[in-house]
Order: sequence, then structure tokens, then C-alpha cells
Amino acid sequence: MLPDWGVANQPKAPQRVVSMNLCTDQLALLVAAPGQLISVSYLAAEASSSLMAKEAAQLHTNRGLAEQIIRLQPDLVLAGQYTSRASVNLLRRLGVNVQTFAPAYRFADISAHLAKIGTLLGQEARANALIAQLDTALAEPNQHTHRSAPVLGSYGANSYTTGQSSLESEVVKAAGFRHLGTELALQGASKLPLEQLIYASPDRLMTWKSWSQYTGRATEILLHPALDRWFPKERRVAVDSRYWMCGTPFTVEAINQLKTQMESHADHAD
Amino acid sequence: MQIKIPYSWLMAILVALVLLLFAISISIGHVWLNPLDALWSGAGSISAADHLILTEIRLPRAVLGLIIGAALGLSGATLQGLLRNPLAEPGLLGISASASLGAVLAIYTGLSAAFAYALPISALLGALVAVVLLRALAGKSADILTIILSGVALTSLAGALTSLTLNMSSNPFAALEIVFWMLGSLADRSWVHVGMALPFILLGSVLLLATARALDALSLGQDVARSMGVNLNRTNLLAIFGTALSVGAATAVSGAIGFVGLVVPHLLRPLVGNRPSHLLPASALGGAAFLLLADIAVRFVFPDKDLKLGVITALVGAPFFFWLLHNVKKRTQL
Repeated sequence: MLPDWGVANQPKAPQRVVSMNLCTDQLALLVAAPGQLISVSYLAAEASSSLMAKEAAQLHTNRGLAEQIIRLQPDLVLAGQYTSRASVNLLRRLGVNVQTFAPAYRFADISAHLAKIGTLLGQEARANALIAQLDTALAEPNQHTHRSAPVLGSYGANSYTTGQSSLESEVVKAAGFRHLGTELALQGASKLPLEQLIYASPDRLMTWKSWSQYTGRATEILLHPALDRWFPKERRVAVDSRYWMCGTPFTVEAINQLKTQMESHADHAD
Repeated sequence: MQIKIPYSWLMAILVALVLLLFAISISIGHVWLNPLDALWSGAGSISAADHLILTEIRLPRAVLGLIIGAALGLSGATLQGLLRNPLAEPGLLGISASASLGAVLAIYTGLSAAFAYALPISALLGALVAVVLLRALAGKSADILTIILSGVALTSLAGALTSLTLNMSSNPFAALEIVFWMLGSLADRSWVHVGMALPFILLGSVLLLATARALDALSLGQDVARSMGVNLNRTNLLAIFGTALSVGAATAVSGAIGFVGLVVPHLLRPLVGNRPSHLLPASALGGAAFLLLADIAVRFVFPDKDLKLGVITALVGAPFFFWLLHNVKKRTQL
């Protein structure tokens, strides 16, 4: 809630907004007026993680440390709920107005976040336009996921998959498929040992495109021979993680891309 | 306390124990599978998923448990004999941690992506640096505590550098790996890892076993050993390269697993009558049994929590270490 300054003293929209979380970065970049947002997290400027890297590269980028943020003299700081709590608490102690955002777990959260940022930044009109667009895109024939629809599961670094009540499950279901984590009743990001994945045997295994570029212990699991044998190319879908990481208007793209990829896969299979 | 048991019997019991634990290790997992079904009644009798899981996931895991446990047990027994130090062990002396550092450097400089064997080679170079350093230190002063404290310092240093390397990596998941490199795990390893570690572990074990005779003589004191015609330089070199090869390659695929090389030789020593030449092969088998058991425990106790192996070995090994430390102190005070 914004403080009530009374009619005589209309709250001025903040002019030095700093965002320290990749997701709030992208939402703020979409909603803020030119010049209003002065710094975003360094991840927002990296093309491998951000869909607005070009826009973000025009701004100052921060690494989320309190000292760095305070020197920017922000009048509003946007952070994720799980963004370095120590930094957020310190900033609050120092009297900075920090607003935190929970990760988006469903489509409704995206609209709620857009609306909250719109209000905070005094850009309700821009936010409402984005929300309206989002609602139209998501309102498309929301066919009830068929009980025989293919099951799609994600598998990533360190054998993690995503459980139910997640943005991923919403996207998969909106694209017309069943979601592995939901079928298995997993909660949040869950470790799924390779054995269990093979037994669960989703029809298609979703892997994140950008992660294949990394070599290391964590991503080694994606090269396991058993994984290759059980899920050959025709049972894989490589998706662009940038569209899935944050709940933003780009999430609509994740749904569309998944539909297209699955359709082209089906063509190959025939 | 001496327990009378013929050496051949002891070895037969250990072999049987290893085989039993190996079979259990293959059977245990998310679902209990009987490997005999697949073996005796042909691949057709079990589902394709079971077959794949048995052959590509559980079998390499059990094989790694066996060879890595053997490498750790054997190198622990050799180091204890060579340094004449009851507390010597690759984990405590910082050899495993240095091997981890070598492995991490190979992975995050991209070397292992260009050349697969760069991973075990870099890890064994890390281990080699640690052993040479410790040997040099132990040469100057045979004081038990000096060596152990050097090992503590080396472990912290290697751990810090491993952490630094992982933090500098552009891979967003790298920092989370520190747990694996410090506590070790055999989860979801494959035949690729067996192929990577096995040749080095075999070669290293041959070198370590070749020290057996000399260690027998050395247990009577350095001068006696020399007068018996033991070439101490050769023994030193065999032990150093044997440890580096076997512990380095083991750590490259499993991360650092502590205490196996400490606990196993101590448990077996009274059973083999304090003869290093008998203790070395027995410790290899004992190490294999211990690590297989620990790897069964991580899957049995918390099947879905991906418990690290080092947690189990430390839970068993650390109290044992304290007990040993207490005893050693009493003995040196006398």
C-alpha cells in the first residue's frame, strides 16, 4: 500500500526506480516510463537469461548488493521475494522503499504483478494495456486438457523437474498437454532421479535450450546414456528457458512456441 | 586384541561380503529389482525400463562403488604403513580435496569437454601435488599431528580454491556443485565414468600393492627395512603415484569421500595380524564393501533426498577418528 499523502500532496511517481531481480527487471522495463527505471540486475542485460537484454543494456546494471543499490539513491526498489534477503533487509533498515514480488505460479499472478508495478510506478495505463493484451492472448479456447493428451515433463540441471501449481504446469496445460510434475503430484522444483524419470516415462521430455551450452557436473545428467536411450530425439522438446523463467507477458510466447514445436514433432512422427 | 582367523578365510569372507553388497546395490533404488531375473531368464522377462535402469544406471553405480571403495581403502592402508601414521587417509590428508580441485579446474576451464580424460588426469595431478607435499613434510618430521594439521590446511585451501573456481564460472549451477565435490556421490553416474576411472584406479592399485613387501619391512622401522635391502625411494614413489592415480581418478567421478581409508584398515588390522602385505588386499576389499554399504544406505534411508555419500562415511568415520585420536594420544604419552 502506498502512503496516503492527502489530496493536496498527490504522491509523485518514483523517478529513480531500481530493480534487482530478473523477473521484476523485465516487468519494470515494460511498464516504466522512459528514464524512470535507472538500474536493473546484470542478468537482465544478458541475452542468455533475459528477453529484454537490449533494453536493459541501455541502463546501469546492478548485482543486488545493498551498497551498490544505496549509492543509486533509489526512491523505489523492486526485488523478488527470494532475492538476497540480507540485502533487502539492510536496504529496508536504511529506509529505502523496497517492494518484493513472489514468483509467478499462475497466469493470474502475472497480471497481478503488472498491476502492482503499474500502481507503484504511477503507470497504471501502460500496465492495464499489457494486462488486457495478456488476458486476450490467454482467453483463447482454453481446451480442457484431454485425459489422453501427451504428458510433458521438464528435466534440467541436477535432475530437477518442476512440480504442480507452477508457471511451468500452467504453460504446459495451456498448450494442451498434461504436465509430468502435476501427474506425479510433485511440489515446486523437485529432484527426480533418472530412475524415477524413466519409470514415469513422460511422452515428451522438455529440456532447456540455453543449458546445453554449459558443461559441468550439474548439467552432466542431461548427457547420461540411459537418458539418451529412453528419450531419443523424437521424444525431446528443447525449449527456450528465457520464456519460462519469469511470469511476464512473454509467457504467452512460451505457450505458442511449445504448441508449434509439438506440432512439428507430430508431423515428423507420422 | 588378536582374533584368530586364517587369512584365506578372511579374504573369502570379504569377497563374499563385497559380492553380496554389490548384488544389493544393483537391486536397491526407486524400485526393488532382482538382477537375477534379468540375468537368468533373459532380458525379455523384465520391462524395457527395468532393463535400462539395471544395465545403464545401477550397474555402473555399483561398479563405481566397488572400485572407488577399493581405491580408498587400499590407499589408506598404504599411507598408514608408509607414513607409519595411524591417522593417514586420503580424505584427512587433503589428497581427495586436492583431487576435487583438479577435477573442477578441468571441467570449468573447458579442458574436459575438449578431451574426456583431462578430467581424471587433472584430478590425479591435484592428488599428486598433495601427496608430494605431504611426503616432503612427513620426511622432515614424522610427527603425527604435524601431518594431520597439514592435511587440514590443505583440505581448507583446496576447498577454498574449488569454491573460487565454481564461483567464477559462468555456469549458473556451478556454485551448487560444491556439495558434490566436498561430500561425494555416485548418483546417476554412467559407464562413461567407469571407463574414465577404471584404468587409472587399476594402474594405481597395482602400484600400491607393489609396496606390500616393503611396508612389511618398514613396520619394523626404517633402519631395519634398509638393512633388509628395501629400496625406500622406490617404495615412496610407488605409494605416491599409486595414491595419486587411484584417489585422483576416484575423486574425479565421485567427488571427495572421506574416512573410508581411515576406518577400513583399522578394522581389518587386528584380523590380519598387523602385516601390511596382508592388510593391503584386505583393505581394498573392505573399502569396496564399506562404500557399497554407504551407497546402499543413502538410497535406503532417504531414497528421495539424494543424500551425499560423505555424510554417511563421516557419520561412521568421525566418531571413529576421535576414538583413534584419543588412543594415539595415550600411546604417545607413554
